[in-house]
Amino acid sequence: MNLKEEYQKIIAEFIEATKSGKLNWKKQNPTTVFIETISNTDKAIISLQKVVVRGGTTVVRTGVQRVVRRETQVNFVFTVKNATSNELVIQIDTGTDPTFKERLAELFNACEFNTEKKNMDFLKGIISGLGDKTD
Amino acid sequence: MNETNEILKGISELNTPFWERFDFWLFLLLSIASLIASIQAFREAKAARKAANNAGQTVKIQTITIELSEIIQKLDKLELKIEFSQARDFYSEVNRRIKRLTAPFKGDDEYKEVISEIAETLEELKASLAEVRPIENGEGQSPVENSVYFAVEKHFSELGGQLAELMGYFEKRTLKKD
Repeated sequence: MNLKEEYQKIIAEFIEATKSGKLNWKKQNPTTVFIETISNTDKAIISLQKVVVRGGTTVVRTGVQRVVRRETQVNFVFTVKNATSNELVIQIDTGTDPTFKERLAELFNACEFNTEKKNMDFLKGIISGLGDKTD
Repeated sequence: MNETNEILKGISELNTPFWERFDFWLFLLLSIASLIASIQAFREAKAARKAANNAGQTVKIQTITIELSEIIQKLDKLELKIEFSQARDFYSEVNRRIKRLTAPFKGDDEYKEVISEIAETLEELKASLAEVRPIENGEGQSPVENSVYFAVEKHFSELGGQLAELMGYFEKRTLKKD
């Protein structure tokens, strides 16, 4: 098994752990999720960012006419950082390595679902608490 | 008799048409020469005024080019750990300066295409920035340090390229006038 396949396998495990709710992803901003965890004695920060590049331009010349095509690209950046030593452990950017795009998109969707579900549960808790108080 | 002849001679001299007189042609030639000189002077003054206007425009365009190159240099120095508030302030400054510099040329056929592309990139940059606006979670500094950089880096890079293209068009214009 080469290194890429190993990473793919690790990401698949992250997807499973996220779907089962074992990983507690937090949102830093609308397109970035992260978890802070302890690996051996070091603190690790694992993050995933969805990067939307709108309007990447491609200039095409048809005869004398200059046609500018603006395309939207979606990339994902997966980063694992040792926060204790401030070292970057791994960084996968699908803009430079598209082979990880499908898996990281699945992980991002799972994270979004995970955080939305957590928020929804919190909201439901408030509503049910209101019901108890009014009774 | 002699007196009569002299009177007749005088009368005959008075009856000579003016175009047959030497002094008429002399004055006519002098008048034409002065008219030609006046026209020439007017043309030269007009050409001098046009040259002064062109020189003024060239100086203005050179000033704009210098300012554009300053913006490009700033765009190139985007920090990897840039925070959202810094990126937002930087965007506001760049957006304001570019809009001011390009506004006079928006309708100009030579530049309108690239200026419209620049405006689109600025709008896209604004949208990308909104996507990394921090969610307040009371935890102070953002744990993921590069998220803003990843969101805006490609747009800033593209903007730098478009501004360089605009500078090229401006330089072409000054070269033409030289």
